[in-house]
Amino acid sequence: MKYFLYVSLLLIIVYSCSSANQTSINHPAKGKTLSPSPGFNGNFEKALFKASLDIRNQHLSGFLLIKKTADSTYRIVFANEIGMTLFDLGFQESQFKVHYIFEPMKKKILLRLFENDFKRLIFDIERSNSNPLMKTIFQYEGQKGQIPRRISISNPVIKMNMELTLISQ
Amino acid sequence: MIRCLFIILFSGLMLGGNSQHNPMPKKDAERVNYYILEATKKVITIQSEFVQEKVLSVLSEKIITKGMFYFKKEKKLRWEYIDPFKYLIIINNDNLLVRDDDKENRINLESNKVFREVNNIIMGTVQGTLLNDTKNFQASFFDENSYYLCKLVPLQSRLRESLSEIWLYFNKEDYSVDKLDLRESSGDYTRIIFKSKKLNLPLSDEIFSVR
Repeated sequence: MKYFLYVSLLLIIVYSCSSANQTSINHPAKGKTLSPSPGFNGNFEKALFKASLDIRNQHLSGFLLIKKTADSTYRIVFANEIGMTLFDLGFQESQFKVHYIFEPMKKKILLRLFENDFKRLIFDIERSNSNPLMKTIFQYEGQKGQIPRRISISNPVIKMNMELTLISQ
Repeated sequence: MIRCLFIILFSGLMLGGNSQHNPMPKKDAERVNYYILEATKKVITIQSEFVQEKVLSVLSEKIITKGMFYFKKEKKLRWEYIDPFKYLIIINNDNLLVRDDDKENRINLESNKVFREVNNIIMGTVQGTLLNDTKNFQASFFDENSYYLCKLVPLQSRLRESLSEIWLYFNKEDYSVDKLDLRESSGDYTRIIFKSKKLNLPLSDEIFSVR
């Protein structure tokens, strides 16, 4: 019986992600003592984070894996807690590839934001554009090897906020 | 003669190998389906540990999470991740609670059409009818070593986009599920393995509180 419920649960999580009508109770964010510092500088193999992503009134959470592949492409996979992939993106300094993105998130502006922000996070480079919508604030806290323990990525114009907490590397 | 024997033996091996990948004959599948439904009817509560493996095939990565699962008839469920992070999902009749570190999300499953549909699926599934839910899933059964494997293919495109197939591995002894796979079209999948299952232990309603 549990498997039936598990599947139903999955359905609910899938649908609740794509529904704007959910009633959500958001507690105020915890006090932050983050400070700006360099990101990964394009020289690391792998990092697994607990992740939360707020876009307007949508809240998504799960884990985010960043891994360097054999051809030096970085893959970023974000999956929710129950394992469903929400996006799978590939990055090189001059390339960006969407391997998969959950349909309700398939928005041009969001993909541009991901491209811009994740490139900045991994390679410490910013896609050249003068669009003020793309101005994102990065904050880092702590360090384990080359990987920050906590990363906060926020864009007040688009109302996007991503919080990453390092699990393992 | 030896050549004939070799051919027969070889064909037998080939057939034996293939049988794992061919669905069970309809009659056998119906029998297994019947026993599963009968076993489901006897379950009032479930308590189980689980290990979840998210397998990223292209990246050769396996992300492992662990937690506890509780169920109480008719519609109470607690799905709790403990390691390496805490995350809690509770369904109590028509109410859903999702609790992250510093966020709580409560949804009334009757509040809109989509949730109502999902809730209807739950109602159907509590009675163990998902395997026979021909409107939403196409089911086929396989005899897979120590398991009966049921593969469910979602028929609704919205669900199929996220999930290409659901594989349920039923224990041949007691027809309970030992593990399940949520297969994605990319080849990635999430495997849930249930451990230390305890059936029909008394479970307090407090475990399922959504307040």
